[in-house]
Amino acid sequence: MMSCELEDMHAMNALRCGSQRSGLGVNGYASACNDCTYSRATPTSSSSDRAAATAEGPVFDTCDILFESLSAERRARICAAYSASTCCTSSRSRALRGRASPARGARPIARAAIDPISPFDTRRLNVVASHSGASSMRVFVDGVPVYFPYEYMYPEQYAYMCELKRALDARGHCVLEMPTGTGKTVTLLSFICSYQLIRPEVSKLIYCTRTVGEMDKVLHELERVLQYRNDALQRENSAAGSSALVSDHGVNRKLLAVGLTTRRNLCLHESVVSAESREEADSICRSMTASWVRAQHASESAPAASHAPGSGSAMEIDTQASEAPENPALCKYYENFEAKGRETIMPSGVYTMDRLMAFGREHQWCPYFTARHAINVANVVVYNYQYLLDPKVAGLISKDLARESVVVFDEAHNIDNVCIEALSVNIKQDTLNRCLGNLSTLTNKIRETRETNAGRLQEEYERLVASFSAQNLLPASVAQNQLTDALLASPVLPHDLPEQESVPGSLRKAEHFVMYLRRIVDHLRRKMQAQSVTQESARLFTHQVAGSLLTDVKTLRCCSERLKSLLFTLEVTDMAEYSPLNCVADFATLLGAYGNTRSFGVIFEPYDERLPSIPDPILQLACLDSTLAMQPVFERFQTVVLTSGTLSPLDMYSRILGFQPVVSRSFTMSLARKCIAPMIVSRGSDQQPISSKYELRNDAAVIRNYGSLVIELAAVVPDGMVVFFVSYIYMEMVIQAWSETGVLQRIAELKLVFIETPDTIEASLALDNFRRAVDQGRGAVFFSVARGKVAEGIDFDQHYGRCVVMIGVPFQYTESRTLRARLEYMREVNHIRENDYLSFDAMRQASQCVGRVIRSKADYGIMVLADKRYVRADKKNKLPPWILGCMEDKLLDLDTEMCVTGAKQFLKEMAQPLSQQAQIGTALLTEAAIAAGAHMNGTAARGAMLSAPAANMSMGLL
Amino acid sequence: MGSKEYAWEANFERSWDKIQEDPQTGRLSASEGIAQQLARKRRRDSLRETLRGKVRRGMMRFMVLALDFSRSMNLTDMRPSRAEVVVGAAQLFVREFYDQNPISQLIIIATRNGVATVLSPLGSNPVAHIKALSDSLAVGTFGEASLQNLLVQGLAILDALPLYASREILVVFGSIATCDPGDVHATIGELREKKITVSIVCVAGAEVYVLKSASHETGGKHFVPMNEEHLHLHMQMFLQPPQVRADTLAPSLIRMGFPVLRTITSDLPPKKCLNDLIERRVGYECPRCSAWLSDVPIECVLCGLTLLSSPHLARSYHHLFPVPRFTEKSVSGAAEADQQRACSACLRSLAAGGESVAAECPRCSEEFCIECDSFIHESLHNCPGCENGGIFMYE
Repeated sequence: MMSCELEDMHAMNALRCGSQRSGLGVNGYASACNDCTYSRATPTSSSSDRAAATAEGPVFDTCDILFESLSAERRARICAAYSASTCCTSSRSRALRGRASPARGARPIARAAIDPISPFDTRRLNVVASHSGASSMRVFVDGVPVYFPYEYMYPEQYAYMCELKRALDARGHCVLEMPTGTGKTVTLLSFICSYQLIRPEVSKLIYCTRTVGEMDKVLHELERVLQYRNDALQRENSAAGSSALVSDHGVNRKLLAVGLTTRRNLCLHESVVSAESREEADSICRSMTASWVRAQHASESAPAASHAPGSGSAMEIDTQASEAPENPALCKYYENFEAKGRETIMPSGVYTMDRLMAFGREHQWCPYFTARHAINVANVVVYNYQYLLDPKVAGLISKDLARESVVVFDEAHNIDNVCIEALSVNIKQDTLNRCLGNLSTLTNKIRETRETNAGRLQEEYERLVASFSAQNLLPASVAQNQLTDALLASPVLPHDLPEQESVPGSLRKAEHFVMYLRRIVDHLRRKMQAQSVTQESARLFTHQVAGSLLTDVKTLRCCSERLKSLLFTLEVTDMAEYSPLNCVADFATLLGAYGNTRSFGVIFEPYDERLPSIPDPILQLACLDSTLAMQPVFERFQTVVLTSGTLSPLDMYSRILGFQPVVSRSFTMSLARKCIAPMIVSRGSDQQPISSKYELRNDAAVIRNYGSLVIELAAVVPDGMVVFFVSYIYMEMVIQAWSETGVLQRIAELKLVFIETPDTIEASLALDNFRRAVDQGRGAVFFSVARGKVAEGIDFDQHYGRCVVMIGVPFQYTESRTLRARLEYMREVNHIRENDYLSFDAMRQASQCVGRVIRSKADYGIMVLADKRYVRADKKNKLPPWILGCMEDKLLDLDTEMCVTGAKQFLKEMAQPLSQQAQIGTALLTEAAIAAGAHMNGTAARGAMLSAPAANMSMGLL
Repeated sequence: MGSKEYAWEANFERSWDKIQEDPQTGRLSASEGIAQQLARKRRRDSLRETLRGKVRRGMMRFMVLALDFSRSMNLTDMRPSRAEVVVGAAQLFVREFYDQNPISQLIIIATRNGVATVLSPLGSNPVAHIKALSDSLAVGTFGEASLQNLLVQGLAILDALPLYASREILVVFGSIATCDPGDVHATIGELREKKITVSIVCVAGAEVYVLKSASHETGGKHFVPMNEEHLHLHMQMFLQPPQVRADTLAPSLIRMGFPVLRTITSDLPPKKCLNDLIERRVGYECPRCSAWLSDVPIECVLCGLTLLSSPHLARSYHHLFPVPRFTEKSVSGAAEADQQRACSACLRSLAAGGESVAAECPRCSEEFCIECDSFIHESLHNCPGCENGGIFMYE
């Protein structure tokens, strides 16, 4: 009875089980093979299959346990068999699943899946649930068939899709908060991709991430989503002959997804790859691909480049496109792209960074420009926030995207700051000094050009005279066709520039314009000689500038465009060199454009507040209004989704970004066991309040109490531990005090100590060694800073972070003038009180910090918020609901001992093995359970969770 | 968090209430309440259930019991201290180990102050092991613990032993960190290659990554006991031989000797036992080389033959055919019929204490009290009902 096949399948299950135990799996996995002897209690296995399985129970029992003792070659064989069998398995079972659509037969299927089952079957389910693999489900979310590439879905994912659907249907914006580790990305991607199928008018998904790493992760996830979706569609198509769904929108199945990042990451050319900085890489690239450079070389070797641009159908691409002249001064990859790529369309698929590079290598095309070109036709675009929010970049890259796009901002909790940074300009002493250098080189260049090629300057002059709009001063051919010149667009948002406006006469001549810039620079230099802090409104400052320069606002506004035109005319390739001058021109343009509004403030500080002895004058044109950069995005695209693990309180975002979301919801994490232990420690072991508040900051008792908290936690928490401080200065002060009082030595006895520094290389080295120490079982503690690099982007999942301690409340530096100005603006315009905003901002940072510790549901961790101010309702209630929900009242106002006792208890409980069975129904939903839930509620569960009876029912049956 | 999180929130423990006088004999005994016994039975059963199955189990085992005697064992979260509790549990374990695995051997090593030492050499004398444990505890617990040193030591010992036996390391670790001279994961990899199983009971009250990965990588088990009783329960799990790893040698015949106990008559001088060099008149003679040895089971010092007696083999047998899990049945003191029901082992009335629970053997349908259930499963390993009724146990 125990055929080899059976045994092997079992071994596989155990193998899957193993991978889950190691914490790899997030979602469940199952597949049922309907034609081999083996079968499991999956939603699709028929009752006769199940009966057979039950009869075979004892045998399975045996071989299940036998598995681990299989020899190595046997395992290898099993693995091979596994990969082979999945194909056969999945195609058949999915076909079956496709036919028995939940709408028709929801109940019976549900019962088949969750009938009371024999012990053997129960164990099968465990195994099934415990694996993440290439299996999947198709569920109906409010009528939309969603292809979800995992066998199990978390209840919150289902709810998330329901809300997303509402927002998409209403063509409105939404704010959705869902805890980290619950699969936001896959939920978003699989829903939107499925939604596109039935609403083809939603042509494009624009997914904005903060970092390149995140971008690549999204693309990999998307690859998986689409693979399943396309497989499923194909099967449905073949199974149901020609299903209306597929044949109508068959085109949509060919889906192109690209990610865009900087040239430095997406270049094949050796000299660019080896560049040290992004700016340098851009410059090198530009020096090889700028239109005039190419034009020059083209004229030199005109006969050689006689090939016509690529012809033929889109799909026919020559793999060996080496006809382009091999000119060392030009980039052959770009030349090839220029010759062939522009007219061809990339084959559909998901282009992750690696795949894009491989594609580029194969065709000898420049991956960067291929991607740039492709984003206009792609169905899914993944790139950085900046490409959409910063008008300088957005004007260049994102201006042709269709209105019917869905824009997603992932990790959007800091989006207001990104908006503000995109429109702010900081000028330092050094910037101005380098500007002077720029100006003299420019003067020389102009003189040279006058002597050698006066016609070009004349041509420019005539163009400027003729132009009706100051928005684009470049020749039409360039604007249309030139990706490479890549002179940045105007720093001002397009709709803030008047349509019809010609360049003022005083700027038309190159020499005059340089003179004008010199006057601005001089004025700024004079301004920066002041010894005292000044803060004035942009309006006042603009009029001062206009008065002292004897110019008007309009002239100022044209600076940036005029400079662009000049640099183009002078054929400057090294843009990095002229960045200071660009900065000043942007400053002037922004002043000119927004000088009459209240959205900007001009702040001058002769030295850093925190280091008054070092003169470091800085002039800031600070954007105070975060709606400014965001508004056009909201207006332009029909649906904008803001999502993150920490967005509480949700209404704050709609206020500071100035939009009205149609859906704003926060989801909690459904857990079979409570895997986070948030605690608020308000008192030290001597019952004195602890706080990082300014008055208590230097108090030795407070620092000592913080020290003993860290020592005692380090003694009970295994492996990795992270301690966040409110700022570098505070961290330095505390660590110094600890080192003097011997606290640091005592921590070092228990765990190795690593400290984050502002230096990136040092910090990543420390992080690397931290991970090594944790892996080796030595245990380590990482001292880090809220708002630092680590707090925002580094995960301390699994054993790397079993406990995180947030020392103090990470308020922003409230003495900062910029912050003050912004607070004032918000109070007057948005009606947000200073305190509300400050504590909102502090709490989102704090929850980001403590959220580092948990990255999936299999993970667990302790979150200690150590400050008495966290107890207050105005702070505490700003924590995301998924953290608040786990915070019992008795964990609110603890002293050190109680915190340590709680931590011990929690760690002990978490170390007990977790039965996967317990999760199904509460934390994991099967396809059938969802169908049953939707069936019960009539329309799909409108509320966030599956309604309680539905969840209970599936629980009970299980 | 549990409801009894703090000491002051827990119910006051009235230890004197546990002492009960037997109505018939008048003897005092500190018996557990029926509820506790039942809870214990359930826990045991469920734990056994996870280990159960028709699998091949090797009867010959070589086990390294590795203990942590580092500073962290001074902590008093188990009273009087972690070290004392662990040593107590280890002593109990050693005794039961030899009782249930008579043809297996044990060696005890310990880590303290960053190094690992052998406390008691490989042998089949539980008394020596138990004494060595007490002696080592008296030396004290200090310094850091080193998992790698323990594993390297265990590897060196077990690597020399034959492959036909199961070779295990059972680590009882009390620290949340390990202070190692090198890469502990390399050692773990080596252990995996050598097919040595590492199981870990971590009494530090938290899951430690290296410990978990060591047991996971080598196919062992990993437990984090919640309290002392839990610790004993988990230690008991290791009394049962592990399943045979299919990647070890195929089953083969092993040569063994069955010496007869001999007494030297008083007219002859006593002979010196080769294993401990003490002169004795009563001893065993190796059937192959006629070496004079004090005790079995033992490996002959001279010719290396495994010597044992047939009851030893028989005693190891029960692991392969465990007594089935008894099903629980409620007994109410009120019903007339229930009054008559008595435990078929100790013959006491099942309904004596009012509401109660009986355990029924699924094979012979005899009812037993919970106390006898524990005795049958933990010590006797035979169901009296089945034996009595002639139901062959090994059907």
